[in-house]
Amino acid sequence: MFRPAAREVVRIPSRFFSCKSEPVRAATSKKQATKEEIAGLIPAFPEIYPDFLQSPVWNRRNALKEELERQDMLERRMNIDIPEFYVGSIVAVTSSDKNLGSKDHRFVGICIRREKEGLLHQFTLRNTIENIGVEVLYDLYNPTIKKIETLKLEKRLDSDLGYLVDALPEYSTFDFHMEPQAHPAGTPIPVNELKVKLKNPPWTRRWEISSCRGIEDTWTQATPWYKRKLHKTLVNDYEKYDLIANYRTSSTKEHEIYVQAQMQKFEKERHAAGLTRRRILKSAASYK
Amino acid sequence: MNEARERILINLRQSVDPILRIFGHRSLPPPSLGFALDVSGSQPVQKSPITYGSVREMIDDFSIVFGVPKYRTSKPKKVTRKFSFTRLLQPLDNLVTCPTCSNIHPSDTICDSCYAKVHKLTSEIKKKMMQYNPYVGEKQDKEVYVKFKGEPKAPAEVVNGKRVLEMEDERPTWFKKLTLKK
Amino acid sequence: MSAHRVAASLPRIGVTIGHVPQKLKTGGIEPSRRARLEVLRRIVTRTVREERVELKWNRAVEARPYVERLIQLGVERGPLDEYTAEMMEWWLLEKDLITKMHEVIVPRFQNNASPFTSLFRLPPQRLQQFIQNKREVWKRYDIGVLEIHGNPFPPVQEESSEQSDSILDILLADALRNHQMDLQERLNSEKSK
Repeated sequence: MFRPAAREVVRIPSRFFSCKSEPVRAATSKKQATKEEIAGLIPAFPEIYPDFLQSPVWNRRNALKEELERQDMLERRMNIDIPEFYVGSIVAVTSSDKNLGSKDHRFVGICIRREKEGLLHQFTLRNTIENIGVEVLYDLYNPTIKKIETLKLEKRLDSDLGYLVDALPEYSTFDFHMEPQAHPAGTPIPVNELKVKLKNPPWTRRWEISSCRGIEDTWTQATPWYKRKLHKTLVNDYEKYDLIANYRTSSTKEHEIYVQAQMQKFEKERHAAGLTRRRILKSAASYK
Repeated sequence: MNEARERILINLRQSVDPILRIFGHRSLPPPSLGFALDVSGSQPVQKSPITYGSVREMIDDFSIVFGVPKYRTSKPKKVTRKFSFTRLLQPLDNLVTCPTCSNIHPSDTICDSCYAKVHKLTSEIKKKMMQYNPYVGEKQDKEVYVKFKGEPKAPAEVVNGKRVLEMEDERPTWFKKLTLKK
Repeated sequence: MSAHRVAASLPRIGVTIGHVPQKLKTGGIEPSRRARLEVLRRIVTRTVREERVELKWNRAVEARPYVERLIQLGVERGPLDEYTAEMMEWWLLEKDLITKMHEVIVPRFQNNASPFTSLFRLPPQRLQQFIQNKREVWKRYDIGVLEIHGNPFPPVQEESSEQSDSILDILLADALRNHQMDLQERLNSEKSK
């Protein structure tokens, strides 16, 4: 006998939503990164490896370019030991120079800036030589660099020490024959809370309105001209509350996890091949 | 024809005379305007006010005084005014039918007639939810459990420290009860 | 020139975010980036307080990532984190809402990833503005409904049912059932004879 199913199940075609913010049903997506996944990873990754981050400009983020550059960077890191250093650390760089008699040039200085992502990553060292301030900008992946040493591993209060140009010379004077100071593994990186005294104006920038924490009392030293000008100055101190402006320029946790996993895999492959024992992904603070 | 012309002239004179009087010719008798068309100076000025038979007549009379277009409006301007892209109606090609209430709405939106009832109930619940005074230290520090009229009291593990909002109406049939878990 | 970052970076926000921050009309406030943030701040506060709000579509689109990020900060870092506390303090104008955020909204999403909010778009609505000299002034609005998940309100969009509700399907099914019943009756009557 014919037995029709009452109220037969008929699939309704799902409606097409063209609006970009198509609503997603609640509580569908579970957290991706579980604790096991995070186990071998470094929490301070963006600070130690700023060269592995994505570009702060969204339009320049190109997955293929990043991938190719990352391969080159990892290869380079297998050939040269690039130690961990921060802005504020004292670093010595030995680079080859064919015009010198010894063919080697060693420069010691405080790292005042780290900028750009990928293969173009740069860092600047500053020192005072014969009472003249000298800043040398190095490309991290420049093949003429022979050796990079961290003589003193520490941080400062700011992520850009550009104000050392206008500071008294003793704050950027370091001995070229300085003994490297070992950092005890597994301890957090010390933060040098030194407040720098500036020279008298004129300055290269208006330090009295900058938000640098590492400068001591800029207001009394500032000239009356700029003090009077302050009320005309556009103060953008509220910009730090713009959460999405930060999001647009910063890297995401997913990216960091992906890159670290890639680095671990690369290391493991090279170790298994017996080519090297060098480790790429390491952190003094989270060393076990 | 002649009569009409006469009347126009009389009208003109009547409208011009007071102006002249204002400009200091009050003592003198009103001078005769030396129009070439002047019929005859001997005719006495009519005292009685002129009445028009119709509005049309009045407009015809005064048409020389009104502002009128000096130049002809060109064809492209007229066409643009009538049929420019801002005046055209575009067909909507993204309309869909709501499977619940058969209301027609654009495909990238939700159905507004379905949303109307959701909106009504939402605002009722919201009204209850907002009944707290933050100025005396009251806070929305608990989850909310909505209990409709005529519903049995929820078990303790469901309410579980939640704030219970009691509604005056019964639960609408389309608002399905949540699964009693937790 | 900014200070060192204090904590690890946050996960992606699972919501469409444009490359460029959109300008918003800031009624009464002189238009600037600050004014834009002020408008968004009010919207975020209202969203957290009411959990489902109707806004102009473009404002809802702009405000949604901010709500997401604030919840994400609460979920990832907790109330004791300095940065989170600062952001909550600034973004939630009414201080009792900070408690609500940490005690009600954030615990809902402890095991979830973004998105924590939904945004629905209503068909363009014509609403009356005012009547001036017997002249009615109407204006067209694009309205979005922004909501935080897990709210006590009825769902904006009903879940698609397994069974078809189309009138044709219902009538067909009923007709088939009637036909079956007729057959059954006929069978019974034949048996009784």
